[in-house]
Amino acid sequence: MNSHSNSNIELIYNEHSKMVYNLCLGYLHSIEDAEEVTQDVFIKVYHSISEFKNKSSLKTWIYRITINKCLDFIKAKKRLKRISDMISIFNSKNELIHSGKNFEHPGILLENKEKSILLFKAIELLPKHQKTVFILSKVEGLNNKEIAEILEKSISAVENLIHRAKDNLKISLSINFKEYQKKEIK
Amino acid sequence: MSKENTIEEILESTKDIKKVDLNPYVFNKILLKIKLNKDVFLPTNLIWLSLCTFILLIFCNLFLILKIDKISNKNEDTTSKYDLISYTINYQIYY
Repeated sequence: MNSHSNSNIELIYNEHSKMVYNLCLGYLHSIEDAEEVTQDVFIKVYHSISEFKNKSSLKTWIYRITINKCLDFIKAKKRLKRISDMISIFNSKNELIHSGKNFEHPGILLENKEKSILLFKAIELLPKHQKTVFILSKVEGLNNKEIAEILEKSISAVENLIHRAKDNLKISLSINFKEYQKKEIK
Repeated sequence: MSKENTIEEILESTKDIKKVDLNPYVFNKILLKIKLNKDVFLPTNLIWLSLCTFILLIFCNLFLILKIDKISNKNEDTTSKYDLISYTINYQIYY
């Protein structure tokens, strides 16, 4: 590793690390996992920077790497969970090694905390394309054109995905509505 | 408040989300990992390739074992035939 490439990666890191970390956080719903995937993203950027051909902006390219790394991480975690589920069948205590928890995003306003917990729970159940588009649009605040460029889709396809994601979220939120009402009363 | 309004509010709860700062030690961890040339995940292609090679090796072994077995059976068969012929000839000579 030479000092030139070292300073290059430092420059890229300083400019894009916050964006990468926040996208990972929105995707993975865990601070530790988001930090781990952020590291993986910049290692990938370091190794593949020679393959970057300026066809898109550096930001768009890093967004793509981040999304792919997040999807890979979720896939690996699901695989691990499946194995742990199998082990738990034979475990006398019947304990799961990994269990889902309520995610409190550190950047959410205090008055929106309860609502966002429900929303992130519902986002986790979305199909991967709808999930990606919804996070990029509503959590990252990107416009449809930027999302279309990142995902290499048409703007109408992105709009369609956002619409479908919203519909699915409404369905799963209405199922969990009673749970939210109970918390509100408390 | 109606159910629809509450659901709309929940959907909009990420609207004024603040960007969260990253742990300052993460960059040092990245540099260390690059230095050690250690990637966290093994490439999926490599896993599939090794799995396919493993399965192919098992099939090759099975094929070889079956072939060897067939050859030895054939040999056994021919020797037994030869034994029978020589026995008959000997028997004829004797009598």
